Amino acid sequence: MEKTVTSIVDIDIRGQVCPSSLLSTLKELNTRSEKIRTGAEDIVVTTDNRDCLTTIPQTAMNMGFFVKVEKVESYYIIRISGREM
Amino acid sequence: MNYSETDLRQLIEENQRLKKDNDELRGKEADAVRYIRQKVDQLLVVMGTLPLRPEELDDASLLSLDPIGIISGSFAQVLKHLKETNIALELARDEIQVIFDSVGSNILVLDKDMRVIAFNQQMGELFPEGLGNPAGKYCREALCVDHKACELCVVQRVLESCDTATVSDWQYQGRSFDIIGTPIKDRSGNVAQIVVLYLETTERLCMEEALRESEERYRDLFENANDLVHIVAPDGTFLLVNEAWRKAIGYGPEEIEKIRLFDIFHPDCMDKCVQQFKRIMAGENVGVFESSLKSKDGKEIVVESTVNCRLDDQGRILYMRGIMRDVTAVRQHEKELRRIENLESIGLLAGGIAHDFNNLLTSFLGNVSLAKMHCQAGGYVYDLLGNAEKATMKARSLTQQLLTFSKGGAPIKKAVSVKQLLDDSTSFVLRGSSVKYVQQCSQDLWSIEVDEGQLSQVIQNLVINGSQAMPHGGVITITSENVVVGDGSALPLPQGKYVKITVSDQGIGISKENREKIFDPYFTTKETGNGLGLSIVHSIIKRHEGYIAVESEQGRGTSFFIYLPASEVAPVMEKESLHSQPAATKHNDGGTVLVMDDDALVRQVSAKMLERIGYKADFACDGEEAITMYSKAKHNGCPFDAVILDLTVPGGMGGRDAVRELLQIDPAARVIVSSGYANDPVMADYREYGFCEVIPKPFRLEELAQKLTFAISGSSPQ
Repeated sequence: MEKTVTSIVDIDIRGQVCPSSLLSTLKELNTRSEKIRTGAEDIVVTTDNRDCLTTIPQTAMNMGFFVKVEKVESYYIIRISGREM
Repeated sequence: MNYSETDLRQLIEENQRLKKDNDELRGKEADAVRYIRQKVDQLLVVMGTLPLRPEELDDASLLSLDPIGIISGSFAQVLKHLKETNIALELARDEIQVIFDSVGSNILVLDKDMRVIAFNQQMGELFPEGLGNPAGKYCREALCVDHKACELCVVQRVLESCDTATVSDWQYQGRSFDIIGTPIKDRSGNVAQIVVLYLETTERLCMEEALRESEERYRDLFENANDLVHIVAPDGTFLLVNEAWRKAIGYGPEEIEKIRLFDIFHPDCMDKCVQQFKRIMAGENVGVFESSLKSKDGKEIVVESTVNCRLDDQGRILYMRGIMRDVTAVRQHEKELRRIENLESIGLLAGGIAHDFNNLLTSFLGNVSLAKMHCQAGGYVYDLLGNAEKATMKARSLTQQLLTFSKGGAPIKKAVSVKQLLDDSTSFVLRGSSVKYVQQCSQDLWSIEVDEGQLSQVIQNLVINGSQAMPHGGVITITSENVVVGDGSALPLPQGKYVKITVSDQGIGISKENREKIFDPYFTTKETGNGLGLSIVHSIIKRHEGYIAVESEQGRGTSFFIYLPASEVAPVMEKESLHSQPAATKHNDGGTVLVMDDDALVRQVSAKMLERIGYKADFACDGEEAITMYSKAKHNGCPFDAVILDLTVPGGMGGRDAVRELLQIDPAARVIVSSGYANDPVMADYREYGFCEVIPKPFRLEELAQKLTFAISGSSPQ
């Protein structure tokens, strides 16, 4: 079985207040939806905004994506994938 | 260009109007933006997330970002995801329903008020008929006796503990169940529903009971078997032993764990046992074989064993089974029996030889006796002949012993005084010896009924052996005491009263190896011994239903223990011994004597002897001939004055039968019985059989003359 190589789409929204991190992430999710669901792409959101953690993961999951959140130093990494991690 | 006032006024009004429109438009734009923001927030909330914070979206990005477009796009995916989830749930629910209905147990689902929500098909069949639709009813209405919830109700316990609860052995409709109740909790952790699983154990319990009974039966058999049974692992450890094994071998449970198979093999049998073990382990079928085991206290147990192996699927040995029958006692009996048979067959042989030998002795003694008559009394030849006579008498006592030994018949018992018998026998034997004799006899010693002659021989033989073991002198002690043999006694004797006679010496003793063999015929450690003495002793004691045992320590001495059954009968006064009768060689003025003997030499010497003492003699070879001759003579008017009949006539009529016939012909016939065996019943009670006298063979001339005189004259000493 071939292992699909997943490319990572980095969205670094540290320091960004506007436009909303949620909406930015959702925009990417919408446009890349198919690629993410087939496993060709994963989205990694890097943010220093704590409020993102209450909005982005839940919404992504409601859309049927799998989400993994990590805290790294002073910021957070939210990984959104079409496969379970 | 000049603008009129009117124009100016119009421009200002226009300007004002435009300003007003501008404000209005700005206001409307602000409303529109506000409206869009509000709706974006509303949509976000509907989508299940949080509304935006004002700074998150400025007016410039509002339109360029297309928030509503984004939300719409995301919402579509949310809905799609929901739909997919629903389909999966439906599928799962169908799956669960199938599992629910097809599982081999009874499942009931209740709400928190214990009412039936759902149940699978099997559960449905469990509900009593006439219940109607169980859904919504309280579970106790369907399942509990009298519709009352019981104290141990699983459902109650689940509700109280918010945790799984189980109950075993719940009885319903004559069947047994194990019940497991599991809560389904809501998001707050409270019990929302209870799933109750009823696992039927009826069959399992039946099988367990049957298995228990079967196991019980087999165990009962195993433990109650008389044979020793064990199961041994390939490394020699004991996996299982039965009660008979434990009793015989004697180890306790902890000890059995520590020992191995080779520990119970008897050292004498070790090589054979090890070999058999190896052969069996190699897969050979060795059949039934005999071996010896060793008990915890070192006792030998002779067993007949059946041993085989249990193999696994690959043919490897799982364990070895051994079933062993204790044949120690049987072998012991067989040994005794063989010894007795040996003795008996030797006895028969001895008897035959003794009989002929005795007749030869009779001839010899008779001739010597006659020869003496023709010598000068006190002369050289007379003395020599006297020695020959003495030797013959010794030979006679030897044949007596042989005949005693050979006679298969019962001893002639009469009540005797033990003390008297011991004194007589012992003093006789120890005459002139450097060995002293001490007798210890307990008071009120019970009497015994024995054949005096035979028991005399026993004592004599033991005393002779004792004195020979002490060539430089010593003391022989004979102790007699009363003994009661009880139920658990180690002696091989039936319960009852016995007299125990112990003959002890202080001599060289008997080695352990020899002690086994001393009672065997022809076993002797003496240079001048025939090896028969002790086997005769053993034979006699056995025939008296007694028991003889020996204890010995080399260099210290030997003791023989004789047990004889006691008797209620008091001993009678001793009859006078034949030894003390006075010799008489009274001559007769001719009488006729009929002599019946199958042996030609005996007839020959008898003829000469009778002639010497003045009788006329006629001879018959067997009883029939004697009867014929006697009746003929009587018929002819010259009857015989006396008849001497040999008791034993091989292949013909002997004295015992002949005398009966003679007495029928002539009730006044004077018949003397003659035999080599002085203790034959006929010889002992000759009068009972119709004889008037008895003369043991071989006899001297004087004896013959005396007996004939007594017989014919009809007078005998008291």
